[in-house]
Amino acid sequence: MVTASEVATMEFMRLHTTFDVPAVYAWSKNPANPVRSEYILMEDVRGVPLMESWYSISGSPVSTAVLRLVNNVYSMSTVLFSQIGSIYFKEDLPQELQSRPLFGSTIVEQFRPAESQFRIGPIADYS
Amino acid sequence: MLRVVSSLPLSIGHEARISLEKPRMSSLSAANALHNHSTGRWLYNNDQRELCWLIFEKPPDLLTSFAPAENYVRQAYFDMEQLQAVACEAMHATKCIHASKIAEGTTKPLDCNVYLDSEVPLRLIQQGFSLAF
Repeated sequence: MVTASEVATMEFMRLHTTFDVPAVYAWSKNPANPVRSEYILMEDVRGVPLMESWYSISGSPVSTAVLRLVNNVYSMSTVLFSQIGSIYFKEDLPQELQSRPLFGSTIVEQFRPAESQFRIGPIADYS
Repeated sequence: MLRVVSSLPLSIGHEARISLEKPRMSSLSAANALHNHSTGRWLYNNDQRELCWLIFEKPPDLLTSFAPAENYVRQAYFDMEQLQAVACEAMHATKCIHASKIAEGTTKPLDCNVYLDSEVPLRLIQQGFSLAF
């Protein structure tokens, strides 16, 4: 279920935000597949991880990076979901959870198309 | 989005075979082998833990009655050829030309770059099992 939620969350973000989220090409949540393991095959996003240059940059590159980060976090904080949990594809959840709405009473217009594809399910936890 | 859960035709698996030698589960020193999880782990009883894999060279799910999953933290079991076959099918490529490990994580034993004949790198995250830390 963790893999299913990870993929669904990435797709949710990729489809409905402007963040650089890698596209998922193939995945499996079933450890009994031919690979004998869960996996996610995704796009390799080009760029430099912020941690690699963080200690060698100062001034405007820092403010650019931080502003972008804050804006992204802020824009996601405006999304109100219907309940506490993790994001899943609708079909990966039991009927009972599929019948519940994805969003709370206020829906951010940008995310409205997600209603048909995603639902909230159990909190994804590796342990 | 393609979801691959069914078994693939054998022919794809053969085409996907690459020069990379099939990873073995049996090298105590091969810290960079694709299957190895060599960071962020307990060091006590290290030799016993590594030996456990040498003796039971099988995926952990077959062995839970013999030994705790903790012993398999050292190695993440997966079928590299099948993984490459999945990648080839998803990307409509004929073969995988290179695969290398780029990171290890506590929840993702393997994080590797896979290069298909299109030379577009893919990132591949494999989640074998949760780690017993």
